[in-house]
Amino acid sequence: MHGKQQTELCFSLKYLIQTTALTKRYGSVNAVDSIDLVVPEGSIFGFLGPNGSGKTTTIRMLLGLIFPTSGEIKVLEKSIPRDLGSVLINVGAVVEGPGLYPALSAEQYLARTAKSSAYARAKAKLSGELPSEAPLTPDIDAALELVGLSKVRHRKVKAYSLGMKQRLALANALLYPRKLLILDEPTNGMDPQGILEMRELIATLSNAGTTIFVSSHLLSEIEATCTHVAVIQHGRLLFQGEVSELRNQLPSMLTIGVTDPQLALEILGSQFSLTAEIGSNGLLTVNRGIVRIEDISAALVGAGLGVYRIAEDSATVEEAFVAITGKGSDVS
Amino acid sequence: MFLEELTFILKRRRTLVSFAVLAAIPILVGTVLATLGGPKQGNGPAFINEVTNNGVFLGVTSISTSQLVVIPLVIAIVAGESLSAEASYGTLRYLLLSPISRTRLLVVKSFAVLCYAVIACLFMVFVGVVFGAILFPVGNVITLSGTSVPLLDGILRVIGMGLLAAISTFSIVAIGIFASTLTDSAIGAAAITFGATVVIVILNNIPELVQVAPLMFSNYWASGADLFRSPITYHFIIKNLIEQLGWMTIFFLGAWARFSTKDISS
Repeated sequence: MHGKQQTELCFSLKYLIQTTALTKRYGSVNAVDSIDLVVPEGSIFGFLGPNGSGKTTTIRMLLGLIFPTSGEIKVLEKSIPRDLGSVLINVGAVVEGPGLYPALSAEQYLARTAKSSAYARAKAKLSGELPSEAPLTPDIDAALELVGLSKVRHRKVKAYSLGMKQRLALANALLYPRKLLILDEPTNGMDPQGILEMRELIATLSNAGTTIFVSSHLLSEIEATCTHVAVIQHGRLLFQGEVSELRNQLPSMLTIGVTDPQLALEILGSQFSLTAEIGSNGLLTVNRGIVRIEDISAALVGAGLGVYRIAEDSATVEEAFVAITGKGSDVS
Repeated sequence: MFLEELTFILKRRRTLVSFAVLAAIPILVGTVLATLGGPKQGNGPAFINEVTNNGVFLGVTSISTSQLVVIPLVIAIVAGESLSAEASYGTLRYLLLSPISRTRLLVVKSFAVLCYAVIACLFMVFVGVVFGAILFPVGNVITLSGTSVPLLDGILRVIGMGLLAAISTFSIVAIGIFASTLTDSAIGAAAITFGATVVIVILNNIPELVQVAPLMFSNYWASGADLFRSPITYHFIIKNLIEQLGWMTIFFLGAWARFSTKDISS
């Protein structure tokens, strides 16, 4: 409901990523199969799917690294790959993990990136695509500080752990202020502390107005950070919308505590065709399928029952997600 | 980005190794000549007989002995890895996302490798002349025509020959850059480039192919020696320049066509 209201109220709602029938074919296989992504401005958009489902291929197309077989891409309301240069100025990205020079330190690496982008930034400032106050040279210190690498800035990257390399790749994406961040499995290889910091960082950047598009193969990761989500499998979009909507579409086990379990059992059966059981503790357990939890509670309350507990078994949510998308290992 | 790229190339360990190899040639040749004396008349590479009379010629001999194998090899390695090494590190995608346009990156990389080729050849000449001056007497330079030119003039001609040797490798640079757009393996691209050079050099020496020999990029490599005639004859030097320009154009265009439309999946 909340999302709908927003859509109706804000006529100027912008989509920072919009694809139309985007397809990438390798031989006879559609790695990405006619997907229509819409990523609203200001969202933290989770791109969820098992390994090999087409996430990275999609991201590479959004960034102009590979070219679509068919379909259209708009990023920051400009056409890709036609306006790639002026789009990328405002986009930070981590794609398929870090790509670093083993013999360079973190600082040297970021300096090299800065030099390679210097021409494009200078040009964009002259043409007015970047505001005149936009920095021409990056604040490397700030970027390293932000990802917690200040202390190892002079150490060669070959001595870094995977988690540290991920942080450096993120620093590279955050070298300049960005309108859009595209992060491909950014927590890969990070320790729990790093994952927490990453979530906090994403929240901070989002609050500062950056739209974030983040891919993951973990539902829990997306649920913990994102406002919106798209689920991809075998190159096709299975779902797209707000995270709360996805939750409703994933079957899960509910434990329901009501004042009259027997009546509740009948209501669940007659109204929703759900088969519930009454446990020895008097609680109902039911596989809700894709019936929305709020509908169930409304029906029970509407029948005059006192509902004192509805609990969803979150482990079954993850299981249901895996059941929908497959584990990934058997994906072509 | 160009300066960044050039220093990036020059600072790499394998580039430093290549300079060690390039310096080793004049040092080895000079040491052998100083201890064992020159070869019998008519044997060995061009100008080698002159070295013991005038150390300046050590630079010339080094270039002419290295032109067929050593110089093409180091150039093939540096050119071949230009884009493919970035691809195998996974840094190519981050350079492009930084952002820099593909065309611009290709131009910067190509120009930097061309500069490396010039630096490498001049470096070899420099080591040759300096080491030659240490080991052997120096003085007025006797030309192939038998006349004598002042030492400074002679040194300028040696430098000119180094420069022409560098320009002679420009087709190899272009082939290397092109190969580098074909594969993500730096070794593979270097092997393709060096292999192609060796094949052309061999074909160029087959008498039956004399009709098409002028089309091969190694055909006029020896033309730099014409700087040591009096007066200098520019006929073959100019043909060499045209030859290099032609093959450079073809392979740089090929590299651009490939790189600008390539799916970067590394």
